[in-house]
Amino acid sequence: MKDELTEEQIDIKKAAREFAIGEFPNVAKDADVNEEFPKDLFMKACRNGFIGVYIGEKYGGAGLGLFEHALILEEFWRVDPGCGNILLSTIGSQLIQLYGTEEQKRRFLPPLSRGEAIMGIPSCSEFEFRGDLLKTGMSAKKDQDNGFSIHGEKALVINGTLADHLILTCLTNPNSDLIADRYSNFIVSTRDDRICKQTLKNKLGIRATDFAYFSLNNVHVPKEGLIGKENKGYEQIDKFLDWLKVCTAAQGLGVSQGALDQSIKYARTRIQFNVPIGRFEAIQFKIADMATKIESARWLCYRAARKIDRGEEDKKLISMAKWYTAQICLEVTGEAIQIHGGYGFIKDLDVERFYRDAQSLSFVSGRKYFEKKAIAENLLGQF
Amino acid sequence: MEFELTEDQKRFQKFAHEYFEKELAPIVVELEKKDNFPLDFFKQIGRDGFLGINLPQKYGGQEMDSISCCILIEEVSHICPGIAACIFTTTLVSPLSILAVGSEEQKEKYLGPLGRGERILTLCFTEPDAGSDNLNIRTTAEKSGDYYIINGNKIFITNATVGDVHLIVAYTDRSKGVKGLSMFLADGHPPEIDISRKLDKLGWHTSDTVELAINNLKVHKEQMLGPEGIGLSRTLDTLSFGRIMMAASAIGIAQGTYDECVKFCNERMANGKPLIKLQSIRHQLVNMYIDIEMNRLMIYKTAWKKDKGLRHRKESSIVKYYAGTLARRITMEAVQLLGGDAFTDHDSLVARHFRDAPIYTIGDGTSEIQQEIISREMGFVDKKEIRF
Repeated sequence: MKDELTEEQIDIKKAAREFAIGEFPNVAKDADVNEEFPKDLFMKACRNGFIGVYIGEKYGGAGLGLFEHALILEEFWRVDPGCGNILLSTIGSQLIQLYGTEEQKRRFLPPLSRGEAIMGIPSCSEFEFRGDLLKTGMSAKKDQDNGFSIHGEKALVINGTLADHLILTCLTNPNSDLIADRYSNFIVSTRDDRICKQTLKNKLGIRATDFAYFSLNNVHVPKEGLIGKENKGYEQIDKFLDWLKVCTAAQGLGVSQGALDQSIKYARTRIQFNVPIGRFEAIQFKIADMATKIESARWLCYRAARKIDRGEEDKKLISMAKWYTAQICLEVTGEAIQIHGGYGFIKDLDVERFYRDAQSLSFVSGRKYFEKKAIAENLLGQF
Repeated sequence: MEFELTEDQKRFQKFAHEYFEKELAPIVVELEKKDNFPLDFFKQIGRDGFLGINLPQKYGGQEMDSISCCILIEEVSHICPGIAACIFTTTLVSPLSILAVGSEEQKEKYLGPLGRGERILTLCFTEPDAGSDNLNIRTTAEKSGDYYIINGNKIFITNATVGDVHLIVAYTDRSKGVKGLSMFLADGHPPEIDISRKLDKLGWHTSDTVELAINNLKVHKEQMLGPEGIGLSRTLDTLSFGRIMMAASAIGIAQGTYDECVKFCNERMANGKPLIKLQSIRHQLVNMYIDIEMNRLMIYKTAWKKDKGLRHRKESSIVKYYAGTLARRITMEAVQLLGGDAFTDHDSLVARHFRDAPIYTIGDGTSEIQQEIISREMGFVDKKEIRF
């Protein structure tokens, strides 16, 4: 397996980094304090071609893979996670790309890369706490014209307040014995009187990223809104979650690297006891620990992304990449605060914000407990 | 050796627990959101007898033992570590410097009011270029007849916004090194102490932290605390107690967070059963519990040594280092466990504790410095090489 990045991937990474360094610092702190989605920054990123690179060229994207999208996400999160999440504006579109009809692709995908539309999807699946599946927040019944009537609630919808369309998983076949045959996914327009949304305010981290709670009261969705086959939603979401987990890992990689970058800079320049603190082994060994953790997480993440792009399913690797990166991300960003001392604790610098932002990765796309269970089940097999 | 709290200590613990559950828990989010020193609440707990509890009765204190101080600080920290910090920095720790080296006039003047919360003491030591390297401060106090003129810049100064007794550490003679370091008590809010800004912090929102400049502050020689060139030696015991207090507060965070995790794991269901029925989850909780118990015992032992007049600088550093590390670890685990529940509210208990925990491995001497101090106390390094 080739382990080096291609020329194109190196260029993409470099371009993403330059864009982030040039544009994010002006906006990042205020966006965090004021909990504002950085709209201008988002439009700039669209014009520069960073948004939706995995969308097919035919539909306005760059026709690249998850790996390239993850590289950009990593470089964006390296400078600021809140700003970096402008890349999530296309979230959920992977489902349309993978399972949608030609009409759906032509209708919903092109506006995304142009920044003319934003998509939203719940950030964690109710599938997590397996026993609660039947109590999933939302159900859909057939109504007139083979359309559906959707009723229920969803929490923690990414881009909820801003989204033009949401991808919602609904219970459509509660009587099936197989959990995998009970759900369908729908593209739902947010412009409907029967939709109530409530923006989630005062989050701990990634405050520039919009999250909302939704309540749908018998909202009609035409049959064109169903993604793929009815009652096949579970396997669709399963595939989507593979994507999302790798993206989450890329985010963790990015912010960890950013925290390390800043720690190295501080260790080289902060003078105490007449020398830069980087001369002390206590600090040196922290840097070494952080770097090693990031490098091992990077290999897990990159391998997992490449495998998905090659069409190879490796859920074990994806789970490893997800939980391990989310774990080290908290450790590395925490250690970065420690290296910065008192300055690490105040909002003048970025590291305290990175620590808060890192926390979001613990639950988006799945908790550590479930990732570890999945890995163990994979290795131990049936017995 | 007795491993039980005394009856008095148990009573005090119950009293403190009930009081702060009733008086603080319902208002803590509101206080945190205000993002400043809660003066009214502080005065209330002063009136209700929770400040300066370790001061001698002669000066209006209750002469309570150090373990009782740990109990109080832990109980408050379950709910709001920032307020616990206000209690111990202003009334339990810094006044000990006055008790240790102050003149009788200074003790009479300050200790009673400080102990009752009528006056608030701020320690002005740290500077932009002098954090861990605290002897690198640049603030000078130049002798001028019967006065000293103080000039300098300080940062990370706790509660200077409300403080009306400033304990300023400055060099009266920098050429003498630590033997040229002196302390001064400045009253009120003189314009020469210019608070340039209040710092926005990750946590400890109920405690103000500021950057300030001291511009030609004139203090009478009577306001010097202890003799000129007192250095750090007489105040190191005060610093030791500060570390015990930080440790007790960190354990309070750990305990409060652990309690919340147990509650969550009992309520949240998976596969029709509470999470706590899952082996890995209950093992995780068990490990949190074990670490908290073991740390707490060490903190009590250190407090006991202090009260017995035994040297306890090593133990103070050990508990501060360990409890701080534990608070960080447990709060990180809690956010991973609670997931979205912790994430959705910046001011929920677990989110607050997550944000407060990092200061405990930094303030009052970083964990790295504590390890150096312990090294010195163990004889692994020469005393002359490590002065802090």
